[in-house]
Amino acid sequence: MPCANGEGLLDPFPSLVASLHRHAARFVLIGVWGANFHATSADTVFTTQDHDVLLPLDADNLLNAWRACEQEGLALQAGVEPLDVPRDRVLADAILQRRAAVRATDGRGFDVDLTLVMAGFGFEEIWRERRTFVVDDVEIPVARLTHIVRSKAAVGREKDRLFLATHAEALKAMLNGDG
Amino acid sequence: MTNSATRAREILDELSRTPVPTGPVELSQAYLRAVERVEKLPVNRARADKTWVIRIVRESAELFARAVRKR
Repeated sequence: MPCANGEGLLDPFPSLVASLHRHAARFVLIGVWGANFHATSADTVFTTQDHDVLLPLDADNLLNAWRACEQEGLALQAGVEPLDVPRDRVLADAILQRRAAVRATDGRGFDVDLTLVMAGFGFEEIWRERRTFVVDDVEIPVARLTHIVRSKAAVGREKDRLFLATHAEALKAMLNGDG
Repeated sequence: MTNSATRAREILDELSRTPVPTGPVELSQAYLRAVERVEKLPVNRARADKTWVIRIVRESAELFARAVRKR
C-alpha cells in the first residue's frame, strides 16, 4: 500500500510532490501533465514525460523546492549544466532575476521543469484558482484547465498548437461521455 | 528509387520548406466553454483520485520503450 511520506510510493512524481509538501514549497502543476489530470478516461490522456511545475517568485520557496528535489535524489540542471553550488539565497535570487527554469531529473527519463513563468498568468492567480487532485494519497495542486489551455494559446509554439488541436478532440470525447 | 518513393521525398522536402506557424492562437468561445464544462465534470471535483492517470502514462511510456523495430 503506498504511503504519502515519500517512501514506498509507486511513482516518482507523487513521491516528489510529497517531498515538496514536506518542505513547505508552494507550487502548481501546469502544462500537458496538468491537462492530463482533467482527463476522464485513458482515451483522453496525453503521453508525455515532462512535468512542468510553476513556482512563485520567492527565493525561500525556490530553495525549499530545490531541497525537496535533492531529497528525492534528483539532479538539478540549469540548461545543460548542473545547477551551481552552493545552492543558496544568492543563487536563488539570480535564478529569479533571470526567470530561469531549473530541471530536476533522475537521468532515467523522469524530468521535472521548475518554472517561474506561465504565459499570460502570474503565480498567485494560478494558485488561487488551483484544483487539488489526489494521487497515491498525495494531494497534487493542479492549474485550472482553462488556465493551461489559455497559456498554451498565448505562447502558440508548434507543439502548443498541436496540443490544442488534439485536445479539442479530447474535449469532445470527454463531453460526449465516450472518453 | 521508385516513383512513389521519389514523390514521397518531394512531399517531405516541400513540407520541410513550409514555415511552421507560431505565435498566439485565438481560442473560440465554444472551445473555452467546453473546457469549463470539463472542469465541472464530477470526475474533476476537488480531491478526485487521479492515480489512474499516472499509471496510464507510465504504462504507455513503458510500452513505447519496449517497442523494437521488426523490419
